[in-house]
Amino acid sequence: MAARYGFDRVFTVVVTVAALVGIVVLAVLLVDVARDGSSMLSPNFLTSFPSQIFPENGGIYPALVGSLWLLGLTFLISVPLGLGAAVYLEEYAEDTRINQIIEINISNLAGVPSVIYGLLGLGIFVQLLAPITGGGSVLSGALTLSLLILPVIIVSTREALRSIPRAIREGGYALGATRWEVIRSHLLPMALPGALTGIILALSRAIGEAAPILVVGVSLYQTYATGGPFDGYMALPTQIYDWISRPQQIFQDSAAAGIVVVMAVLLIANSVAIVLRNRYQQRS
Amino acid sequence: MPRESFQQELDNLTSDVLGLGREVGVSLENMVRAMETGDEELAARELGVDVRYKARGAELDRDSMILQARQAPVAGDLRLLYTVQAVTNHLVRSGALSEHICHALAETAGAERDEDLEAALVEMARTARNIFNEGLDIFENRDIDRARDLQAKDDKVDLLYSEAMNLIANPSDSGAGAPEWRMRAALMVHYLERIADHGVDIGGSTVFLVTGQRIEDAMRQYIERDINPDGE
Amino acid sequence: MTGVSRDQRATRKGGGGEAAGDNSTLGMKVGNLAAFYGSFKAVTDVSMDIQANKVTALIGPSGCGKSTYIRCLNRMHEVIPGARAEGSVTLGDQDIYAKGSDPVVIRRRIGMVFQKPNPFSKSIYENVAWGARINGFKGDMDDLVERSLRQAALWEEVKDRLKESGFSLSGGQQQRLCIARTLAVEPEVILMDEPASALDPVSTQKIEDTMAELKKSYTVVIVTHNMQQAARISDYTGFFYIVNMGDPGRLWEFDETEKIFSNPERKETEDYVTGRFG
Repeated sequence: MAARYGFDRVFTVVVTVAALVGIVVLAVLLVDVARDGSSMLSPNFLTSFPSQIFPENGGIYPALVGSLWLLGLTFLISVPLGLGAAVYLEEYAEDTRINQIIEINISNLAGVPSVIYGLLGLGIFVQLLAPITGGGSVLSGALTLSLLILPVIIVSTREALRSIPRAIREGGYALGATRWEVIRSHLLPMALPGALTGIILALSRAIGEAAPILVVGVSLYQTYATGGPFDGYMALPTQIYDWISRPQQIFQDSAAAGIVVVMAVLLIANSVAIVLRNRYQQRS
Repeated sequence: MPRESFQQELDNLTSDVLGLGREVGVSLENMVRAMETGDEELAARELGVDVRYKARGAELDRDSMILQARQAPVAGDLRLLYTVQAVTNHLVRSGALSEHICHALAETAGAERDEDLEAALVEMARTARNIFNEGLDIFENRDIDRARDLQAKDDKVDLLYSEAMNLIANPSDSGAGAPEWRMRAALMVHYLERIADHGVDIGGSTVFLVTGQRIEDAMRQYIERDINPDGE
Repeated sequence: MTGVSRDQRATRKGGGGEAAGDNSTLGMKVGNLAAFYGSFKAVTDVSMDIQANKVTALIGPSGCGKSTYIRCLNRMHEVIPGARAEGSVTLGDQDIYAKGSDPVVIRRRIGMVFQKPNPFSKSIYENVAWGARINGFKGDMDDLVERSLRQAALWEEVKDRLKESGFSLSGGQQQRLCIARTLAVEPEVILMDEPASALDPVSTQKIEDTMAELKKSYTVVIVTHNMQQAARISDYTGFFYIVNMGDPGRLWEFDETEKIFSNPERKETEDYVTGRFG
């Protein structure tokens, strides 16, 4: 009997340590980065352009603006498309061979390396559709990132829809409702918490992607901040990469400060989404 | 088989009823023999037997009611319990009537009789006993064809009854017999007619048990049936 | 026979009135109905007269097609992919399977309550109001919600907490909520697929009492596994039966409930109601 309790205790310890390891490592990283970047972090950092001549006055402003533009446009493009595709595939499409193939492939698309999406974006959005997108604009970047994260949104929304019991749909139909009325009034609100989780994950990933936007033409230096969808753009991950590749300590510190800014943006975006999700869950 | 214990309980109840029926049948046999032979002792032995029959009847009623409460019977089971209660009642009443007849026989043992009336009484007694046994048999075997014949035999009893009543009103020339005996003879005529009725009703109840129809309705339908459905 | 389009969506009782539908309640006639799941025939050759303002119960062993059949009566069966029905089902004098018949309208006129209570993830008030709202109800919604909840014998228990979630109710209350929302769209026929089988005896009794009231204004069809329930509350009973496994279910006997439970015609019916099914 004592041996059984012994094993029980050992296992509890092992599991706790496993959890703590992840948290501790993350905490150490954050603290390290914050310390390194603390010298550069200031309101000035957020509002200045990067400078090679006076790096101590340099800032992250255009990259921040560019990433926010990317985030916003990507959200506006990918969320309606993703929700719509998921609703169609889950509620409207019949269970045919073709649709089964589509379902398998969407999951596969989520695992494709992001640089491939960059190449795709280059060919279609930057070159083929240049008259519409304006070439290597922030719009092309957002379109490319949308392609990247669309599979994740579709899959998580489908899962959320699938988890709603049949009985809810039947209850709606039995009252003389059309399919759209059932989806709009019951299924989408009930699926929203799950879908939002997927969207949060997806957007968090998009913000940190450097490879695809490098391919489709993110600027490594701009004298202006992005003002419209057809403008050029800088981005936080690429700016950080640029700074880190320089040997001087000041640039290393700038990079650390940049990482802190990225974390902060992520935190705010996630918090907003979590608040939204909780509000919808409570209303249910 | 599903509901095996319920089925067992129904079977037990039915055989208890048949057991009571056989006991009453023995009483009737004794009553007829006492009447035929004038055996005062035989008649005296039957006295008080109706108390036992009533007690048995009450037990059977209770068993039936409890079965209904516990098992919520429907359709054939429900008709069986209903029939069991009706048949029990017929049996108990027949046994009581038989006892009353024996009581009357014992009390008038040595008295003077009207021979014609006495003969009619014996005939009625035999017929009533036969009808009773037949009714019980029909119930045991669920033989509803014979039940219809039994209804016809009831007519014979009615005839005998009329004859007997006639004889009571008009004493025979050979002698009217003692007044006490004559009075009791009139009662016995009634009782015997009632026993025959009970026997017929047991057969009729069996028809209800098997078909769900009252025998009168079944017979009326038979009489009123359309003999030439295709013709004019 | 013409179908009914959604624009002709008329609420039966108009804006108010209690049992205004007594003389306008419709019955249904079913003719040679068969139901399929893909190529599998689940129900065959069922014909039945469903009397207006009466409760018709459907009984029979598991798997003999009762639930499939009742779902054909308001075209819910075909919601399942690959499922279809053949034959005629008329509501009054309209064939609900005629070309041009709109299943969405049919389902408003022929409502359904399911075996497991399935309230919406909304407030109690919204649960009742939603169906009426999407069907174009323009009158006093508060009044409609109260009337429907009263008819479902739930008003007294929830009148002070209409804004609470439908899920905060007990199982029996949830089921009565589902009945209330069905009543709110003012159907003519109410179908119930084992409505009390997931409930405790007290809730079951309340629902049975409700049904006795409902039949004054509606036509009710109920599938039930509980024989005593069928005997207690129905006027007519249909017994469904399957001869061999894999056969389609069929209507074996249909008659007044009194007859089915006192003296059924067919041996299988007798065996089933007396519990002798082996």
